[in-house]
Amino acid sequence: MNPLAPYEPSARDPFDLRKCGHLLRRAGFGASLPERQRLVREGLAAALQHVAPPLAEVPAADALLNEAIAFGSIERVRAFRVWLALQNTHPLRERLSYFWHGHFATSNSKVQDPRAMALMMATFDRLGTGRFDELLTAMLRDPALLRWLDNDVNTSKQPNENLAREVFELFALGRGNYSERDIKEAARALTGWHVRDGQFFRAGYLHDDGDKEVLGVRGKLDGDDVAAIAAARPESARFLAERWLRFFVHPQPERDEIDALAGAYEQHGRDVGATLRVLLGSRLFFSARAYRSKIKSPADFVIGSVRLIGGRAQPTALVAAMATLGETWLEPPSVEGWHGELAWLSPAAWLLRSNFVADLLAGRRGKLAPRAAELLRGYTRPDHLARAASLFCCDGDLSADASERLLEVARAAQGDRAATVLHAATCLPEYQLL
Amino acid sequence: MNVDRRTFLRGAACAPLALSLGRGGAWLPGGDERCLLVLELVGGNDGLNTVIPVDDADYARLRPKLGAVRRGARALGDGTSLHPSLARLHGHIAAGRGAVVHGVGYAPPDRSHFRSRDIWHVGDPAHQQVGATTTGWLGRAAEQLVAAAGGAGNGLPAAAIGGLEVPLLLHSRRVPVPSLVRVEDFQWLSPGARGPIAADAPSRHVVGAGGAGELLAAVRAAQTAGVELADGLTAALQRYTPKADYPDDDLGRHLQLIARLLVAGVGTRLLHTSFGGFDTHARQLPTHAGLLRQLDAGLGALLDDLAGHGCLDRVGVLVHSEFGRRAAENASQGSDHGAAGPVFVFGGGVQGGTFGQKPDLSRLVDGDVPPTCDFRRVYAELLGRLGVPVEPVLGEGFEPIGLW
Amino acid sequence: MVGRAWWRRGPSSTGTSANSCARVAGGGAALGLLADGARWRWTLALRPGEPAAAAAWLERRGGAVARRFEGPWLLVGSDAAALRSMPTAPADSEGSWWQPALVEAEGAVLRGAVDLAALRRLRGGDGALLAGLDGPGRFLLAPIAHALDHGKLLRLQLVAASSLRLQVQADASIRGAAYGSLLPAGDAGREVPRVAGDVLATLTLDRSLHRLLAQPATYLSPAGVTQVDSFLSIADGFDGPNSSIVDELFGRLAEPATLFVLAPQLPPAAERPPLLLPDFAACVPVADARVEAVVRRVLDLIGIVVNAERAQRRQAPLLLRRWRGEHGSGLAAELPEWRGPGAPPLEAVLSPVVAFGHGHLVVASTTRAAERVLAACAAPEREHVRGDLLRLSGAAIADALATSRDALVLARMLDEGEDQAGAARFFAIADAVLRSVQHLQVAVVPAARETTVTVEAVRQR
Repeated sequence: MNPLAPYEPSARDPFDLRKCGHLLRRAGFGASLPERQRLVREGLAAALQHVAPPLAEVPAADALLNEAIAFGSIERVRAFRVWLALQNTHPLRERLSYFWHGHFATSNSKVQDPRAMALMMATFDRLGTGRFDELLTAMLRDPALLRWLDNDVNTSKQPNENLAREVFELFALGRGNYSERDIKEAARALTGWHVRDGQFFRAGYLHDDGDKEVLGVRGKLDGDDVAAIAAARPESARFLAERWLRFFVHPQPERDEIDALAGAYEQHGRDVGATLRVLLGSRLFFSARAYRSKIKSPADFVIGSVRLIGGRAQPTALVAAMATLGETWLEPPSVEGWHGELAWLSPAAWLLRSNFVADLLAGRRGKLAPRAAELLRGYTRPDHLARAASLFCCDGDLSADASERLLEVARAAQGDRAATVLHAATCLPEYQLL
Repeated sequence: MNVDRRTFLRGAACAPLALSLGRGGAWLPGGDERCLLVLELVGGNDGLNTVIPVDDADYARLRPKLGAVRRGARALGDGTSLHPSLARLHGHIAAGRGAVVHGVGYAPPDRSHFRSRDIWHVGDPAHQQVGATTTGWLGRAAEQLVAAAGGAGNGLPAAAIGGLEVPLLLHSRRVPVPSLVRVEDFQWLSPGARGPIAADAPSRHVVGAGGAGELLAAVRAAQTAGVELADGLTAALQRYTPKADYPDDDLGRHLQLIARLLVAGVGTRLLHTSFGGFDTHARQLPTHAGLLRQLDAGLGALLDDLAGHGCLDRVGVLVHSEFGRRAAENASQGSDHGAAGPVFVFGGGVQGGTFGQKPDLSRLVDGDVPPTCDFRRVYAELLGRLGVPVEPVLGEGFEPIGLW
Repeated sequence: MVGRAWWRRGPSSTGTSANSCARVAGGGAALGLLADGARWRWTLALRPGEPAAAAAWLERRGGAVARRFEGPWLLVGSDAAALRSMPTAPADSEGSWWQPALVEAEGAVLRGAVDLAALRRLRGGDGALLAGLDGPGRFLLAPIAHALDHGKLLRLQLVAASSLRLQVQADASIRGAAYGSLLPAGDAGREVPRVAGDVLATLTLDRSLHRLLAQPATYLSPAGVTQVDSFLSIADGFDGPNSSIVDELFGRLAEPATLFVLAPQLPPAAERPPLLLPDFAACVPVADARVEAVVRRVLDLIGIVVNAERAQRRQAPLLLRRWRGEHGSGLAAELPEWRGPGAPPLEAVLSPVVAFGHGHLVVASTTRAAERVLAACAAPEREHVRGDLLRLSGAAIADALATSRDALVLARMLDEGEDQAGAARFFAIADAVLRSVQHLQVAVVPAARETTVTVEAVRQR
């Protein structure tokens, strides 16, 4: 059976708070309870439309880009990115920009240019939901990436293979789908693909304009050709399909799932947004296998918690919180991006997660509105408080044991009971899962 | 919440954990695991004016002005003497708690601060470009420690102290290493109070709760370990009373934080802190004397403090710099970037005194004291002391020196 | 005693409560607070309009408080001990603070006094403030910190006339202390250039940086001394091996140093960075013209170092060129023209310059700022300044903020978590407040025996 067959809600398998929460967490950065309840009422189609509306209908992500880079500070750019994720005007676009940042993992620690980093992220916002070959072509001309992978010293006299290797291994094809000779030839094609005055610059005199052969294609190839050739390979479809499945659905996708998604990608003209719409509406996406199968990254935890509580927190402070939890945007630990999953949850990191929520609820990370007490207003009985917190934080889906613990906390709580119970709910193991 | 209930919760949570963590109690207070502190002198410490070859006839010739420092220097017994500012550290060496290793470095020397620091941090002179996947030698050591503990531990096997950035030597691709300025960051917070410890923090109550499933079990294991870590640190804070007076400066504060972690035995076994200002191109004498005085006061206090708590035996301290300085002084009464230099190793059980070949100023290479001991042999020695296999961290062929 | 405030009756009003006020304290009242361990006591000195009526009024309020008459004054304490703590000796000895408070009330709407000695006893230890400051902190704030560390009494006086003036005076001065040798002899004041046109802020500091660097141990903590030594270890090499940067550069400059923050020139909209910095220019009198050659050599070297660093970051080099203005000349660094993507960066409008002219050294962020300050050095008009002076001009600052408004709004959204409308509202309010203040100035004058800080706000007319 096709794993990508559309999910059709039924009385036995309704589109409920669980499924709605799952969709909004995976295809965005979560949402408040009233918003989730509204989407459940409006149904699956409306929810899918909500996470991926036509781009023309939402504000451009780069309206404030010039102001964000004006300070020349990477911290400000980082805070701006967190602010965009908090706004989540186009959940899937924001989510995909996060995905592509991990995919083309480029770090300012080497690039040392906040402007270039901000512009790279803006490229993800602009092209991330479109065709992959266009995105890859743009990335091979991206000043930050060219610097990051040393292509600005790749010349016909002294070719540097760093970028060519990563194009094949990490960006487009994956290991085993190219030869060392392809890398050498692609590196030649990318010679002279340089940066000048902060912009892409094609240094003709440093470009090797001889014949090359990359992945079976011959000619006087250049960087644009490398992007087009790599993106057109059938292996590229499977490679990307696996990445998307790991990011959006499950950390260990099955072979038939990969094949199905790669097929959908080809069918939809290699358009990323269209392919992901199929994925997000599929039975696979809403399956029990996918639900709570991933660990929340610090960004999911921090940004998601603020969106969940409906908070108005300071993006600058959220950046700092994410950094202490091990995730610094625009500074991934390696070309491979963040390793994610269980690596996020060291014991110390979990402690810091708990403390982050404590700070948030106590108003130490910015002025929260509404405050916890208002969120749970009207609930006075401990069992009602516990149930409300479970709905707020955990889709109302907790094991009997966890519900019991939460109820005990609600019974014992004194002072700001709403904050105590909400904090406890965010400390449950279930809440650490995406 | 009363004690009985907490104990119950803890017990309930720990039962499945013992299996998954293996050495679940490794970070419990009073642990006897060996620890290492790397104290880095940034800027290129002038080795020849720190461990001074007073007997060498060429010393006075090469350093007509800077050589004044040998008056008042304290003999180490092999014809070298320690800078007059290092009185306390000299006492530790004399008492068999510290060693000097002469001529540590690598060849050919690199005179760039950045490049040479990278080489010391990565642990490989051949390493060309520091990139995103570059790991540091202590980071790799942390991976080994975690692997030996069955993939778990307290989650804080290593820490960088005093700065916001984690230095390259602690970079690891598998073990997240935080930088710590305050130990309070790892205490419980409750919504109500930012007290040092919130015994009734809700997070504590819910540990162990949850449904079935592998992933939830893994999360629970991390959470339970987090409870242990917080409790261990909390107990450590309560238990620790300084047994030495730390100077009221940044170095002193950082070293005292290190003492708190080490005395507690919370399982944080690899630590790094740095102390800068050693780039003495001009007017070196007062500057260098002031820096070494600060070093002596801070590190002297740490060693006394650890000894006072009876845990110096399980701690090793390495003091090194990215390079020494030229043998000949320059015309500005300073010295320029050089090559090899001495390193210090302190700790209980170290054979006190000097090791290796003392600098011979009649045989300079390119105006420098050439290295007589590869810096990775010192690393190998320290790794051996920690019980960490040397080869996966440094590669083959680095004989320990035999300091212990 | 920790805090005391004095209140003077306002224009008389009718009504029984106003009448009883006049009877009980028609000549004013002074409140004192005493800290005694964890307990607080209070005292009240009144100058009744009708002493007999005042006594009767107090009588009716019960015997819970202690009181006695002292000449025309009625002294009240929360208990007998509090009352005993109000000595009647003349004010210039240890004694009564409230008599002068009540007598010298002319013109002031509010007077108060703080018992610094008691406050220090509460906090434990003397000299803690100055000792706690780091190097730059001491250089800037030592006169105030010393006065708070050593003064017995801090007197406050608020006067509202054409301006609102708060004067705070402590009976101690740094002039007698070791640190005082950084200050010029006497407190007659100095002449500094007066810059014409829009000036956002002026800061004049009368200190000898040369003496500080020459004898850091006299003025700084051990850690500060090490910092100075470390700096000099590198800086002393800049002008070759046989010179002293301390004596031959800093020693050839005089005081006071003045920093001007000037309204920037607005570039055409397309070339305008979203965040437009004001111009900065610092100006120091030159004591010995030989300093010029040293500065040039040092700048050449710094230029090389900076360009090496820029090259490492693959940035285009700065071009160092001779600069000649109408009133002086020097070296200017030219940044490469901005041709990159997006709006120009912060530094696109900078043209850093070091120039000499008319007996002054000027370091400025733009050649235009240098020109304006050099012109002021050339002009005969001077401004007389006593001690340290900070002056801010509301409207000019508001104008400068307005040119960068969108960027500042975003910064506030990111740092404070406000939405766009909220952040914009914040700057609208700030704008209105700034424009209502013609200028605000803070003067710190350490005289022979006392230190005076005056904060004065002049409303826009």
